[in-house]
Amino acid sequence: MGRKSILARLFAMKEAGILFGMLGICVVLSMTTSSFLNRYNLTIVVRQASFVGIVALGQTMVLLTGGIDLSVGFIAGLVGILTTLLMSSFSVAPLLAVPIGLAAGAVFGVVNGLVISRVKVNPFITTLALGEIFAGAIMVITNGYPILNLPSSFSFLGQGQVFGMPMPVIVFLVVGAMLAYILRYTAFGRNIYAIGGNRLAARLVGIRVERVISAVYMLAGFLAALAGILFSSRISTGQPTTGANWGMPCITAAIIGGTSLSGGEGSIVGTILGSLFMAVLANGIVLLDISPYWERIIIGAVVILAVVIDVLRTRGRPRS
Amino acid sequence: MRKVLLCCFMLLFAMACRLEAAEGKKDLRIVFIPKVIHPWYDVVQEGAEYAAAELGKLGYNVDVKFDAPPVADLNEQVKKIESHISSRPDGLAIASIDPAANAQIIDDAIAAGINTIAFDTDSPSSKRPLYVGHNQDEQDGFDLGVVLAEEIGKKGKVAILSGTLTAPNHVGRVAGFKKCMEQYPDIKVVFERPDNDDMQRAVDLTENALQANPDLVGIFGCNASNPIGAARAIKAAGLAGKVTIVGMDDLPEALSLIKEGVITAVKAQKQWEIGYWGVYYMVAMNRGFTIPPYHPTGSKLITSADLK
Repeated sequence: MGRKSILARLFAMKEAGILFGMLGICVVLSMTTSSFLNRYNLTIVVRQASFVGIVALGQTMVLLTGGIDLSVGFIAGLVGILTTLLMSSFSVAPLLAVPIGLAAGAVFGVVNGLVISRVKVNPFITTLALGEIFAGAIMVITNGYPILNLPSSFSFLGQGQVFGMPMPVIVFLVVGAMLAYILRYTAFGRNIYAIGGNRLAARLVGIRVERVISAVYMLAGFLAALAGILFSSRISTGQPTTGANWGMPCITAAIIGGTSLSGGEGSIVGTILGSLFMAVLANGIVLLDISPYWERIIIGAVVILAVVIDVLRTRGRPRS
Repeated sequence: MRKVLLCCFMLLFAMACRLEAAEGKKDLRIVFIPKVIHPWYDVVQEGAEYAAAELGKLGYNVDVKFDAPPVADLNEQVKKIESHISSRPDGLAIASIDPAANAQIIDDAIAAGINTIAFDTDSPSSKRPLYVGHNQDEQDGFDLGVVLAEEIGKKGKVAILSGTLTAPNHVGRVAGFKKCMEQYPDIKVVFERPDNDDMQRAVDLTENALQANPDLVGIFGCNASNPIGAARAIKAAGLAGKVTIVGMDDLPEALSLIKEGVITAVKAQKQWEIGYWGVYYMVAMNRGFTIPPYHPTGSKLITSADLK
């Protein structure tokens, strides 16, 4: 880095693109609309970012190992159903039902991880297939009907606020901080980068690749479960379709945050910014009165743009 | 440099959008949020815009906007609704993806002081002051069952295309149809598979049903796309007129298939009326007028006799 100015160093950071992109959109929205910069709107935007954002944090860990998890959305949905079912049909207290749900999510994740690391099935295929099974389990359990009559104390998780901060946002940021710490300062975290960067080399230096990979998918399952529970609490129902469409957005958030699909590159900060960016974009599309028919084209274009900027920025530079 | 260019580009883009929006500035701004982008809602929109034009002549400037999530996903719809609450429209009409799960977000909108109503699919457990739409799903399924039974001489094997298993209106129609079939001891339901409101899937399923049951005499479709899908498969198999098809909604292709005699009957919801009355009621709420709690728009049976 040498004696570069703070600004130049900021630009050189991997997350710079997404950070400036988001600040840019925020400036534009606050200038062109009267409703963007009010407290209510900012609260809902960060809360919207949190549900898929928490899933995206787990997805980032998986992508860092060079894998992919297409089942996270369905794990979120299935755990949402299981947890709400425990509370409504079996009268289990939320304080007990939530940990059981989280544990179930971790177990689903471990199943993914074991099939991938021990049986050596390609992650794409494994999680695609297991995702179908989780999705099917939701239908078998619910027959398509939502789960109602949840205890009112359960709604605090998704709807409550602490010091004006919505609970899902607090969970999102706390989990993000923990994962950032783990990735940076623990052997487990550095092993994840090592495996994604060069799996063979990682094995040669004695990293227990299978264990790390299983643990990463377990983490992804756990975080998906967390998001599923938070969203069920947000809408006060166990909804069979929860998470069914979270697969792509959570990968998108990680990618525009600078995580590489080929593994070894990316960061938690980038994914948090990526999730916020997607939520601001969705909010902006509504506030600016842009036709809903164009929405997916805009989101797709933004992803391509983000990736292209990243490629241009790193071109000719040795891979770190 | 690139980032600066990018920012400039976005700024220009946003301003362009804003200018476009500002040109159409109206006195009352009304937003409809359907479940998903679907041609069915285009007819609701036509009705809503007709009402806005009528009100325009009376001196009320009403701007009607439809903003649907690209997929029928509650999370996406909640995002849309929350963002619209931020923009503070004068009227907000919400079609519930799930009657129970949407209650919370409808109540949020009402708590934020927005005039909010339910349209298309109701959310009875919410605090919405009014529901405009048609919710006799079981009855529709039952009525279509009667038409089908009469047409096939009250005996034989029939198939059900059950739509989306998580859509309460599809589930209700299937339940009504099955209840009707119980009255006919000689009719057997031999096939029941979900098509997820996907026309191609409905074609495939109908072909499968015919393979498994060559003596099939009737098909019931519980949404707008599956009677059309079934009809395409029946036509391709050269069985038009031999297998009776009944289903929901009057999309243009379904109507031309009725004229051709491939589909026997559809139950059409009067969704144009839903849009039309929805706008009037939301304007009335803004003017402080009394509104009813429920406006049933009903449905009607359409057969080839109605299309002459």
